[in-house]
Amino acid sequence: MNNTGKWVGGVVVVIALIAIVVFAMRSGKSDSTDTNATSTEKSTIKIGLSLPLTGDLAFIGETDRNAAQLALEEVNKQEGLKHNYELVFEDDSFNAAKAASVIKKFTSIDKVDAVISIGSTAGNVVAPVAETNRIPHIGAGASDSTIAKGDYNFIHWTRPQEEADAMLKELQKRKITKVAALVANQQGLQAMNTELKNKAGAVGITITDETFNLGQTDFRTTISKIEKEKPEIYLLGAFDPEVGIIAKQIRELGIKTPLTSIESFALTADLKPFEGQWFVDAAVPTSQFGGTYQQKYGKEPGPAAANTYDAIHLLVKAFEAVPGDGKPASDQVAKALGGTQGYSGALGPLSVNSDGIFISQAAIKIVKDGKAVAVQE
Amino acid sequence: MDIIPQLVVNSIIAGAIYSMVALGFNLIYGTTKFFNLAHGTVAAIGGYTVFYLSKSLDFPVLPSVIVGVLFAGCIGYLVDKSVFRALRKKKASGMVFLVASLGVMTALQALVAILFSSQFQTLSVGSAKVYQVFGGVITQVQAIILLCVLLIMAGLTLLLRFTRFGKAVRATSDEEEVAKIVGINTNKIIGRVFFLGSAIAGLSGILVGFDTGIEPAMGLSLLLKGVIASIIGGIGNVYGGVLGAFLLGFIENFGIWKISGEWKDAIAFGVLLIFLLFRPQGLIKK
Repeated sequence: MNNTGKWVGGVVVVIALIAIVVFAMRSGKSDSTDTNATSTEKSTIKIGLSLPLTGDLAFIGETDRNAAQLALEEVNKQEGLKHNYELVFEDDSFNAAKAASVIKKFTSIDKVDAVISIGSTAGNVVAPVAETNRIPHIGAGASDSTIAKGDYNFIHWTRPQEEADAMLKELQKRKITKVAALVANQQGLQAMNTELKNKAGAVGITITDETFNLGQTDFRTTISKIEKEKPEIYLLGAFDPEVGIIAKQIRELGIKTPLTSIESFALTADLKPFEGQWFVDAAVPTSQFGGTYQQKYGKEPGPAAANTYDAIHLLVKAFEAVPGDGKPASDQVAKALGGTQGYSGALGPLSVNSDGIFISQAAIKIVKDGKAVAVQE
Repeated sequence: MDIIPQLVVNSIIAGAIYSMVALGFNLIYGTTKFFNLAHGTVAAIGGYTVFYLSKSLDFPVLPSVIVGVLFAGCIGYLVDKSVFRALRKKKASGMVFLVASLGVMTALQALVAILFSSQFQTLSVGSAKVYQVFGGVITQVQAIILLCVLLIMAGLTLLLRFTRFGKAVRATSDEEEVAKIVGINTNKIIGRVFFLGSAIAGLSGILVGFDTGIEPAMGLSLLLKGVIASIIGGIGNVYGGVLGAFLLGFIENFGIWKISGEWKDAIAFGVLLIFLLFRPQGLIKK
């Protein structure tokens, strides 16, 4: 090809590129006009959800996403709402570094108006960013109370105080006085362990604890060490897969001592290693929510599903409660959220306390036929 | 359960697992003189091959293990042929090899996660048989791991000392250019070393899978302990790696006897730093 040919070719390519860009810009413009036309000039509220959609805890992310979508469907059926609502899902793999990327995307690209995070790991990363950017944030499934610090952060999960009380009450009922706790070095689990240890002495229960790092797979020496204390029960504070590995290695070492946990059994995909064991779990969803979820998805709601469902409804209620038709100021939304009292949610009546935590009661469950079943008092 | 015998057994089990990784790693390092970071991921590939064959296709366990070992060996061979051989031809520096192996590790790990999800999986079938040894408890899988380490070490000793291939490996390891001059096809030898080392890594991944379980990222933690064991024992020295692995197992397990288990990795890396500072050649000089 000679020089003239190259020039002509170059000009054609440039014109084609300009035409593509102009076309794309026009189509984008018409799309957004359509959205506005159908929404009759309502503002759109974006709620970002940082969930573990991949990794060992993906089953939690899946059930929470389902619950959020169920809540949004119900919201969309409501008439007379001032705003449109949109959910933005992002995967954090239950990993702090990934949660940091997610909240960065939510604030800089998606420009979300509110955030829901799952678990203390993500919650601890999201909370300071939400506070700085003045975005209302609800941490579902988060035990670490520091996540609720500030004016924009809230927790919707049963507090370690309630769970520790329920555990100690059950231990006393079963006349157990020596507990061996194997707890992962994770904020939420450590918060629960600290709460339990602080209260145990007063009721004559001794707790010998050992901390390990997440990702560890060899617990034999730790178990051998703690077994010397002759515990009457092992309390496992971990997630998948560590909790299953510990249970397996305890049994491999010939130890027949019962196992229990605060939440951990409910946070595992496979409950078989814990068949017949009792444990303390966060609040049990109402039968109404359980039935609706089961009808839609053909299975029972998983961990934090009811909390995520509630979080969507609570946020919508808060956004709608702010006077005026435009997009509400975030401080007013946070204020409305903080004023929630007696809300009838998927976990029963809910009220938020002065620390920004929605109070719910712990439950005792037993693993029966591979399922965690609430024990009726 | 007595604590001391159980600590000794736990240390031996940990040492055996680290040895499996260190054996393959040292064999490859001794011949090629670069840190192959993809070695741990090849171990994971071995585990996932068995998982796929036995759980998805209902293959019997033993044939699945054999295929898993051979497949891991083939992956190692192919990685060498497609990536590292080209770099050797270009006389790339050690840093380039290290970064390339990091790239291979990341790509293979992502591939495994895409194919099987990053969910933790177990290979174990039924409840494990348990044996009492001098007051400590050891499972059947752990006993097999220990037996495999001894057999592989003996096998490698015979292979490296008494075969033509072993002599060629030692010659390539000592000085690759001189080995070429005396007519050794070093690329062919290194390719076979990669196959052998990766097959050993594959077996370690499979056995760890039976003992605890598998996940795509398992390779890095396995490799780190294998590398620490190799450096403690003497980098590039097959027997030194085994010695270092058992020493590391004992130091880790006795180290957390009186302090919290969360210090285990800190103890391992602390020992590594001490060796790097005061005895960088390791216990047995190559």
